[in-house]
Parts: sequence; structure tokens; C-alpha cells
Amino acid sequence: MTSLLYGIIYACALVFAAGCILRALRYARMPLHLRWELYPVPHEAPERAAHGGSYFEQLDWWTQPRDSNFLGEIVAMLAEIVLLKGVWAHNRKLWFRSFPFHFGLYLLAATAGLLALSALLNLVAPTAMPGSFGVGLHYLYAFTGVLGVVLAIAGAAGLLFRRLTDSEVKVYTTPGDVFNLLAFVVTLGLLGAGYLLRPSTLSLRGIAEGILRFDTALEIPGLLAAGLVMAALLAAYIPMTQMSHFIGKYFTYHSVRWDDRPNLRDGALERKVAECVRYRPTWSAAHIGADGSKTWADIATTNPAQQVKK
Amino acid sequence: MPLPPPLDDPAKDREWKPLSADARQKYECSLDDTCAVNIPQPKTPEEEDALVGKFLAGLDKLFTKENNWTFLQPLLLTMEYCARCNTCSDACHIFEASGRNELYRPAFRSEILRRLYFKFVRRGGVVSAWQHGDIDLNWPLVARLIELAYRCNICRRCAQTCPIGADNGLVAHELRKLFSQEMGIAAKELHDSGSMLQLKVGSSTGMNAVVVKDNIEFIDEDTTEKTGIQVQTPWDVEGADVLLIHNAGEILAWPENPGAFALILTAAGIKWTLSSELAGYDSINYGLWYDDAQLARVAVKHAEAARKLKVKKIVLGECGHAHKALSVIADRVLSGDLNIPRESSMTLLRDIVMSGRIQLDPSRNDFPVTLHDPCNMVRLMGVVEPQREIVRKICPRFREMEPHGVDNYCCGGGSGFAIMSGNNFPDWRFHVSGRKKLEQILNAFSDCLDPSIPKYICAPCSNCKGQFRDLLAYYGLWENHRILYGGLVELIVNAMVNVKPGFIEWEWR
Repeated sequence: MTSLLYGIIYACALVFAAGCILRALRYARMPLHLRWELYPVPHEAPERAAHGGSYFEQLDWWTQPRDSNFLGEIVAMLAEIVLLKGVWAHNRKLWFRSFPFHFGLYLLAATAGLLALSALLNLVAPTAMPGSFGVGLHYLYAFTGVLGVVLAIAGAAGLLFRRLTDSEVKVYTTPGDVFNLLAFVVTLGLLGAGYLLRPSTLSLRGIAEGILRFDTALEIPGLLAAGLVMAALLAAYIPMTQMSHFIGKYFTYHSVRWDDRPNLRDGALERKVAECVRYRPTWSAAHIGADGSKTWADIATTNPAQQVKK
Repeated sequence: MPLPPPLDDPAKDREWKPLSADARQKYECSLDDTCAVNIPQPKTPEEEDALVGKFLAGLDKLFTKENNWTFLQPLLLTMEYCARCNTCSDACHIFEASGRNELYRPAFRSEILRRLYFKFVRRGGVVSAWQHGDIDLNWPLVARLIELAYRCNICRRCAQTCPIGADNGLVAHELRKLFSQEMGIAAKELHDSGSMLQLKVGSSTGMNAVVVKDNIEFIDEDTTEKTGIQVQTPWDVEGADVLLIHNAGEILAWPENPGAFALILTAAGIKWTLSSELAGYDSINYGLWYDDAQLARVAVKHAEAARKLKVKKIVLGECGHAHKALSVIADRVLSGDLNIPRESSMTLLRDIVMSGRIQLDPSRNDFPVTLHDPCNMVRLMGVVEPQREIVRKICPRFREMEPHGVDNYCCGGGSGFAIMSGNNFPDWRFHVSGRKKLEQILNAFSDCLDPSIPKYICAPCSNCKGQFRDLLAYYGLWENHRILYGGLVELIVNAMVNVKPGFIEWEWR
């Protein structure tokens, strides 16, 4: 049974990784789109980013060096990712549910990482672990793990309650939305309960080592095993749903909202556009004049009003 | 939504003009209390099925790179990542002003398209319906969706607040595009009387090159007489530094605006010109709101006019959507020798005013002034401060609307609504889409509503001015409270010391 558990964990981890990569690649491979940015753009020069200004505020902007405020962008990203700044500003009631849920998940991801690190270290440098470093690591992942589970369950339950009771949200809620949140509540509940009720001889690091070494001799209690299976299946499921917005959000922000790159003569963007205007559209309306043989460039340089006149 | 004084008594609010029985009989009007697109009702079920078939064909095309490389990635991201959290709703002035009518919730329209996308484009089955929600497709849904696409100002305030980056304004844009590019359905003001007329004669106003030159000549004479400064607009000057392109509506409706531009640029010693090429004298580009092909065609015409004259840069006059269309959206459409630099008139004017090249006396503008931010300039292009620097310098009684800048509210005339006046659509514009802006104006002037104090809404955008003209007239705000509207250049000229006083004539137009 332990082999089956490990098999499920590894297979689901693979599906999660592959799913995320495939999803990201799908968006990354889409053609260059027209500019559709939205201000404020945080990588603008600080004096302009403060009021949401752009380089269009500079006289003869194309002769000026492009300001790059990488720090501004990083700060904006961190505030958004870690603190859910946008939700705090625009939907405070939602923030009190969404923040604990997401922050709890970050803590759990950190816990998994710290456990993996701890297990690896114990395998390669076992003498380091009984010392203060190993003990410190133990308390750290125990703290992040417990806090993560508590926050994430509370947040998920709060979000689920809102979905089911807020009349303005309920009408847009699908069975899938309810299932997704329930899945988190149940999974985290099983993991939490399984951890609390585990035999005292079984440590989290021991489980992590067992997974890394594929130790089939390790006995994992049913409740904890169920939690681990649910967590693995949930991870595999995430890339197939809009819960993978950690991927989508990279593109909505960096490729769309913050993409203010000007199209400069003989620049890289001109070359990409040159590819796109060679596509042959098939829109049917008469004024478009697309018959599948004309390119976008042909259509953009045709005047339907003058043709009708002829 | 209640309004502040002096319009705070709901009993005194104007009643909607109802949609006529004739319109209801002829057109598809089942969505709400107005009708924007006037789609004739199909006569037979077969006709309905054919239209639904066309819609589905268009829906498929919207998600292919060959047909929609222009917006495919942003659209797909919006389709696939909405968390249905409704954070966008509270940002929407239309949703709020309607009293939270579910039809106007930004996510409502998007959710319909999303479900159609997953069911018909992704060919989703039972699992997809469970995950994303199901939907039935029929002609009434399509007809209502056409109208619903014209109940959004595409101001993108909703997109600004979305934690994930989904864009409901884009959805309205893409729906309009599907209907226009596949089914040939669009608001006639935008297409037949808009972009097609512009491509046919040179301007959506119907002015050809001869007429526009004639009108400008008259404006020059009038400006010279009014100001005491000789003004003569140069035409088709090869090698000029600046090709200025106005929204041609200014020339007909607000001639003092192009007149003021001519005076300022001449006084500042700028080597500038207008163009008499087809569309070269009319910066409008309505394709921005409903049709990529029309957008590209007009943008190319603008750039061709500049290329022919070998100018150093194109400067957009006071028109918000023209700013965004040519500087931002069409930026990637214009390549090679069509890639001529484009600049906002706000930036150029700020440079002129702050450099001291023209002498200004702010005491000539000693009346309350507030600044309206056109969405296309601020949130969608990032031109926020230049116009503020000017107004702070030359208007001693300037006060901001709240919120302002990139957090502004749309005037309610955005995405073409300002020029759409069929049926009782203006009533919808005044009672719904323009109501939040009206609240802002009244709050900005709350300390000086007395009619003895003339007040000025500085609105550096033609379509916004059109909306203000209609909105202020509808509520009697000029008659009863002396609230006037106008552009930024008029304020500049009004403050110029070498100009005869009184350029701003406190008269209604």
C-alpha cells in the first residue's frame, strides 16, 4: 500500500509539473497581441509610476532613454502575490477570506520545501541534523505547517461560505467552484487530522525521507495517507482549472497590463508583427474583404469605402 | 443612484423617454429599456438559425490566431481565469448607477461569453458544464448579447481592480468585433456614419478636404478677430515638425478649440501643419471600439498622411480615443516608414506652457475649474500629469474631481456612446452611464453652485465634451447653475496676456 501511495504522489507531482509547464507554454507561444496596457505600470520611472503616468508624458519620448524601474515592479509583484494588495484595496470583505487561504497555501508550500530539504540533508549529512540547525529546521517547518493548515482551512471555509450564501456571488458559482473549495477543506482537514493522530514514532521528516527513498517499509496511518493522496490528486487537478491562476497571472500582468513596450523602427516587435500581418483571416462581413487568401496587411491597406464607390 | 445637490430630490429627476412601440416591434429590444444597435427582428425560425450559425462561426474565429492575433492572448486569459469573485462589480460606474442591475455587472456579459467559449469553442461536455457552467444558445441570447456589448464604456475600470487580471472591458470589445467582422452588425453611428464615412470622404463628420479647409479658414478669421493675434493655419507643409490631427468634430461643434490650438502653436514658434489627405484631418478611429480591420485601416491612413509630409511627429489634438488608438493600440500595426512618432497634445502643451514661451496671466481664469480625465488618456495611456501641471499653473481656483487620474470615472459617453443618439439611448446615457460623472461634477462644484459663479469643466476630449454638452443640457445645469464645459487649449488662450480678454465666452453651445 505504501508503494501505491508513493506512486500516486510521484505521478501526481509529474502531472502537476507537466500541466503547469504546458499551460505556461500555451500562453507564451501565442502571437504578439496589440498593446492593451493599463496604468499604473509599476516599472515606469518612480516619479511617473507614483501617479500612474507613462513615458508618453515625456516630450519627444522616443528620443529619451527608456526608464526601467525593476525594483518598482518587484515590489508591486510581491505586494500583489504575498499580500493580495489588489483584493485588499478593492474587495476588503473578500480579502479576509482569500488572504488567509492563499497565505496558508504559501506556508504549506514552504513546509513541503523545508521538509524536502530536511530529509535530503538527513540522507546526505545525517550528523548535521541533531544539532541546532536541524532542530531549528524542525521547529520552522512545524510552525509553517501548522499555521499553514489552520489559515488555509479557515480561508477555504470562509470562501466556500461566501460562495454559498452571498446572493451576488452564488448566482455565478458553479458546482466546480464548490467542489474546488470543498476539496481544499477536506484535504487539509485530513492532513491536519492525520498529522495530529499519527503515532509518535512517525515524524514528518521520516515521511519525507520515505517518499524520497521510496521506502516501502514505512507504515503511514490511513488518515494521513488519505490526506496525502487527496493532496496529490488536488495538485494534479489544479493545472486543469482556473485555480492555476498563479500561471495566468504572470501573463495577464507581464504580457498584457504591464506590456507598454513601444514598437520602435527595426526593432524586435516589428519583426514579430511582420509575422502576424501575414496571417490570412476568414471573417465573413463584406467590409472586411477577407476570403482566406488576403493577409491582414492586405486588408489593413484596403479601403472598403473606396472599393464600394468603384 | 442618488445624486448630490442640486439634483438630490428624486421626485425632480427627469423621466426616461420610453422606447417607442415601433422600435420594439421592428428591432431586437428585449434586453432592457433602450436599444442601441437596432437589429431587425428575424422573420422566420430559419433566419434565426442562420444568424446563430453565423454567430458560432464568428465565435470560433475569435479564438484563432489567424483571425484574432490582435487580442487572442488577453482574451483567452480572461476566458480561462475569472474567479467569479465580483471584485470588478464595485468599480463599474454603470453597474452602480443602475442600482446594481445584474445585466450591467461587468462579469455578467463575460460569464455568458465564457460559458459559450467552453461549450462551443472548447467543445466541452458534461464535465466542462459542471466546472464552468452550462448555457443554451439561441437567437434571443445572441440578440441580447449584441445589445449588451453596447452597454459598456470599455473604460476598463473593472480590469484595473481584477486581482487576476481578467478584463471585462475587453470582452465587450471582442463581442462587438465578432458581431461586426463576422455578421456585419454594428451601431450605425460607429460604422456606416463613422469609420466607413471617414474612409469614403475623409471624416466621420462628412467634411471632405475642401470643406474642412474652408471651415478652418473661417475659424482662423474668427480667432484673429477675437484675440487680436493673426492666426493662419498651415496646410500640407512638407518637413514640418508637427502634424496636428484634430477630432474633426471640434471643427464643426467647438471651433474655438482648433482656433486656440492654431494660436498657441503659432505663438510658441512651433513649425506645424494640418493635412488635407483622406482622414489626415480627422483623428477619430471608431474601429478602436468595434472592428480591428477598420481600426487598422484608419490608423494606416493617419500614418500615410504624416509620411507624405515627412513630419517629425504626429500630435493628437484633444480627443481621448484618438490618443489611444494611434499611440497605443495601433502602435504595433504601424511598421517601417509608417512608424512615425506620435505624441499627446497634453505633453506638447505642457512643454509650451511651462517653458514660458507664451506669457500667461492666471487671474484671467479666476473661476472654478475642474478637470475631467478622459479614460483613454489616463488609465489606458498614462497621460495624467501634463494637463494637471497646466491647469494648476493657469487656473487659480482649480479643484480635482474625486477620484481622478488613473482612477477616474468615464463620462458615460465612452466607446462611442457620446455619438449614439437613436431611440431613447441618450436617456440611458444620462441616467445610467453618465450618472457617476454627474455626481463627481456636482461634488466638485458643491461650494459654488450659485448661478452667479460661472464654472468650467475642462474636458480635453471631443467625445467627452459631447456627453457633457448633452448631460448638462438635460439637467439644466448651464441654465440654472452656469456650469460650462470646454477644452484645455481654450483655458490657455484665455490666460494669454497678449490676447484680447474674454476668449472663453460664457455662452452655451
